[in-house]
Amino acid sequence: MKLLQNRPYIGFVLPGFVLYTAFMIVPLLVAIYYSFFDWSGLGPMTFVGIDNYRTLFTNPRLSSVFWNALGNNAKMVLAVLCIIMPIQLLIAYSIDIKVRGYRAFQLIVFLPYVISPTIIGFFALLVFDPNLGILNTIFDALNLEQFRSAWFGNPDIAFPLMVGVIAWQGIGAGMLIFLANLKEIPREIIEASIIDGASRWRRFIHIVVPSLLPSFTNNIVLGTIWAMVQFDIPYIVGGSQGGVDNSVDFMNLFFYRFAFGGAYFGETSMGFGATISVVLFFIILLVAVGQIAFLRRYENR
Amino acid sequence: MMHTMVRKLALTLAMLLVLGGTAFASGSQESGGSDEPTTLLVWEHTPQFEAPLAATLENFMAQNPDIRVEYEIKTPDQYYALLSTAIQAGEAPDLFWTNGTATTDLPNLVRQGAVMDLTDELDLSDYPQLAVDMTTVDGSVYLTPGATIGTRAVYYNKDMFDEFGLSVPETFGEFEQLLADLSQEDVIPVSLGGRFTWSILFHFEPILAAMAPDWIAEATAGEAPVTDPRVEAALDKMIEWGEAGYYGDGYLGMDEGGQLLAFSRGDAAMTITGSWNAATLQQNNPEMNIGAFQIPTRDGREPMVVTFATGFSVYSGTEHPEEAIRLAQYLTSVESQQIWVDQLGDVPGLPGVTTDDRLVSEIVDNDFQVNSFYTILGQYAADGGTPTRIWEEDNVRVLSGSLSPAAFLESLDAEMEM
Repeated sequence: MKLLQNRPYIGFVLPGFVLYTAFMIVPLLVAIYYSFFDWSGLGPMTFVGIDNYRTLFTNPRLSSVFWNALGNNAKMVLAVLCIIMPIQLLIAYSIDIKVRGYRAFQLIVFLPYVISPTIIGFFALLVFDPNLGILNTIFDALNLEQFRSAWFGNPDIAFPLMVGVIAWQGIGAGMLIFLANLKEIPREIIEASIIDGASRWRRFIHIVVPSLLPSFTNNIVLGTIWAMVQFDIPYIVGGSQGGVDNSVDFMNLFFYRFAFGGAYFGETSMGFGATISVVLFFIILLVAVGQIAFLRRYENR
Repeated sequence: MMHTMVRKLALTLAMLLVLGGTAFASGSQESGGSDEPTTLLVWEHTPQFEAPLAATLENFMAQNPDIRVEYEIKTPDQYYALLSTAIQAGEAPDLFWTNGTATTDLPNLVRQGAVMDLTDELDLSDYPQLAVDMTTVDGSVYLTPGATIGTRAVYYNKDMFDEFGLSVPETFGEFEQLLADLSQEDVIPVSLGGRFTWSILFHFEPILAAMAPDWIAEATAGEAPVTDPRVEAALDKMIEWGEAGYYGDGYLGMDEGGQLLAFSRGDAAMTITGSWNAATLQQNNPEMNIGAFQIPTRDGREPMVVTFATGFSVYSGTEHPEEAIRLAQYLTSVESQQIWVDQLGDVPGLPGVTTDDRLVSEIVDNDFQVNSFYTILGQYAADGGTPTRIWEEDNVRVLSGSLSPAAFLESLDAEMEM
């Protein structure tokens, strides 16, 4: 009690700390522990040292699937940062300057975000299923058979198609962060620039974008994590194997196949699944910490 | 204002306590009654088997009023993860499905002492040896056998065949000609869910059985490797048919649901899938006149790929062992198996269990039975090897052309020991 009287902040921090430890730190430590064992999830655990890690990185078959999945995550990060984020910014700016019909526009952009990604994946199948989907049916009706495709079954276009679906679903979140930040830009600065005769474009580049650095930091970090933890939509459109030729395979799907196995996918391998999750955790941690350190320094300038 | 709110809150809480207490009290009374039936819980791994399970349990409860059986249907892709968690937590269901010795899950459960030894409890003397083998680990029985034989068949749209003047092929050559003839019409000759690993397996196995039944016999005896040119030729044949457009132009984007619907909607003239899908196909389109046949060999014989279905294990930690064993014994009976077959519309696997389903009779019209390719992979897996997993993960890549059949078979062979 005396400790609490002397340091009252502990009372505020403790509940959160206990919950965080119970639900984040302990599972992480347990996952690291499991990753050193060969274990199906039941029965005796055989200590194998770093064998699971060695297998993940050196087994030609598994490592090629691993690097492909990680590569797809990296491509997704690039797509989020280079394509989706600029679109989020433009949409937020359009809404902020109140382009004609901006309220409806805001609703249209934000609506998919409140629908579960699983449902969005189902919508995508309704459109892109090669046999039952609306798109091929329309092409058939218009005698444009040459445009028919297997869509998600075509490894050449499955990934960009999926980026489109994921962007459509999640674009509203980052847009809101930009929009909230835009509202905080003092109106006087904007008005002064108008009086000085700055065009909309110059205003955007020289006033708006520099003022948005805090939300850039947030969106870059959150967007990167978003891209690294993709699961639901790729699972629905490509199955747990990550589509044809693993074209929409991601680290989380790779993990799922080993950790959960199941009656469809053979025996489970909790030890190896834990190894994948630990590697994924440290990759995300390193990337996120690196980004934050870099962006904070940039913000402080 | 504040006082009113506090009073309302206190009143609401008091009411909740009173209602909760009443409910608790009534619950306690119910569970305390001496005439209350014992409740057993059963887990099944797929919604496909819900109807037969529900029907047979209903019949069991009518005959055993002292036992009430509840069931839960899980999803196949998470089934064993859920089961492991439940067993570790000591809260496993009294009986649960496993796929026997087809994978290492049941042997693992046996090693854990999680399943009850039923050797002295079940009379399996009438069951075929292959069915009993699926239930037996180290000489002891840990599972009720399944009621049905899982086989694969070519389902075809009879009206469409009549319209195009086509007939059921009698040799492998005629089957290929049939595909070529159908591709000239405005129809997919045979639908295939090319992105679903199990659709590919159930399509490939009858082709292999028709093209290389001798290899299957040799491999079952452990005398022919999976890298045999005859197996490669069967994979090449699937690729050839895919390239010829026999599966339709978007088949690599379809899963099993799309494959079956393409047939049921009349977009495809045929589909090759498991016998357990016969009822689904009939329900999808009750108006459709569906027939079935086995792909014939080059010399005109009809091989049928056979795997025996499996049933339920009894949890060793069940609180009601006597009742659980009684249920397991019932599930092994001809009566229960007959209900299962009638509901599922599948091929009976026990002498005495019959079917009058016309479609099933067409499916089982065969000249000889062969082992499943997948079973052979599991049977000859090297210690620590996982050929079945590699088959499941990579067969789509063979169809898409990013992995050659030879390289694929080499990777399977590396995990096997014959």
